Amino acid sequence: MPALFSFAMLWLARRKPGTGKALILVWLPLYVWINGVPEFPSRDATNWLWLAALLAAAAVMLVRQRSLLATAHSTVLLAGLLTIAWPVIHLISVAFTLTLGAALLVGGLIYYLPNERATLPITATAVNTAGIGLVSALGGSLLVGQLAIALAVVLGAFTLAEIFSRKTRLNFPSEFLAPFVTIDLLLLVIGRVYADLPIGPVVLLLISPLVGLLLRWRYSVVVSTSLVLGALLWLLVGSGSSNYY
Amino acid sequence: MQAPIKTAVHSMTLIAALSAAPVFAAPPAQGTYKIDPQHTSVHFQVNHLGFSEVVGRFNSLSGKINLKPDGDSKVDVEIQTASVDTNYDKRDDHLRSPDFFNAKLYPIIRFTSNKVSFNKNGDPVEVTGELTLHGKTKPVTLSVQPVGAGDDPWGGYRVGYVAKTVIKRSDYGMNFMQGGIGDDIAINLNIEAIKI
Repeated sequence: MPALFSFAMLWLARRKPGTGKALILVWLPLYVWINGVPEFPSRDATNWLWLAALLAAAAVMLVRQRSLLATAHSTVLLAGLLTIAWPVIHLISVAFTLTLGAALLVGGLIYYLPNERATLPITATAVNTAGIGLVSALGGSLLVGQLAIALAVVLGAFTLAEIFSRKTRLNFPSEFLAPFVTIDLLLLVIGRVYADLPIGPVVLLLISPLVGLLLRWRYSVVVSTSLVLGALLWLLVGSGSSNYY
Repeated sequence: MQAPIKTAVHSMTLIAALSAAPVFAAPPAQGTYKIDPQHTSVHFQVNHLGFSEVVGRFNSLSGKINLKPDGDSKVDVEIQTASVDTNYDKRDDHLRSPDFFNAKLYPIIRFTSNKVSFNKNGDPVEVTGELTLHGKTKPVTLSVQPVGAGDDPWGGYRVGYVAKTVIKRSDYGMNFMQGGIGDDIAINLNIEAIKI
């Protein structure tokens, strides 16, 4: 179903390229399906993700100037991180602060992307999102894992469409990835803060999109994927046994 | 004459022995009691995939009970959410996660009551109060069965009860994995409390 939505979005995007910027909206029905209708306001971190996705999508669609867009997205990410962390701010520690800071840094660095066809960064982000989903599901929270995997499916379908439509020279602006990276990072932080995901895999998953997004060489996806696999391996070896579900 | 005297002596000995031991059937004295965490447990039971009932418990709790059969009784129990124990560490970690108890966000499960019903013997039989779990507060009624009350070997006075209820986790916003994991949670409290 999410793949169908993604392809539909691609079809729309061919007619009106700006539509691709709102791809994150495809994830919202899946989010409601998995999480349930979110309470608002809520103390539960996952109940704020829809708002972060909407605000991030709105920023991409409405703000044209790149520097303003970077500011808008960083603000959404910062507000999201603080909203997630606020109820447990009394548990603050160095690792806690570093996780939030690193997430914010990664979110901000997305604007150093080359402003051109974004297939490689899309693939790296899709792989990273899938990695967050698997690590979360196996390491702490099936809910966070499912939300991330749904996001990865949406992004993955779009990645395939993007790859197969090379000849049509669709020129999606790389900024449309920003809402995905925002939700990615928020999910990862939720997993770390509330489900105690081990710090090692979390660090690898934070580095992974950086490599994918910042390196321009053709093997960046391979390196990014290796980091994701490393996170999974770390988790599986560290936990010492298979899952119990 | 020998036999009646012997019987009387035996009866007095028996009475004396019984008065030194806990008086299990006697109703509790009024007063305030502190829950003895070493002899109190909270167990829960939930269906797994329709195949079995999984049993878990909370290892850390505290609380006070104020019994006044003809006045305002109060019960206040706090359970440390993170102390959940189902005899499998990975499942316990999962139960602490946002999927279920969200123990970091909601570290305390609390039951408070201002309404305790007593039977004609003065024993509590029903406690109606509010259970706060997963950030939500809902009314809950516990059926209570007295187990024993009386002096303990250390000079204190103790009461013991078994209390039971069934709640729906969906009432408390714990909706994850409905279907696979049952909605009805049977709760069983074995309480021992010391008079203070």
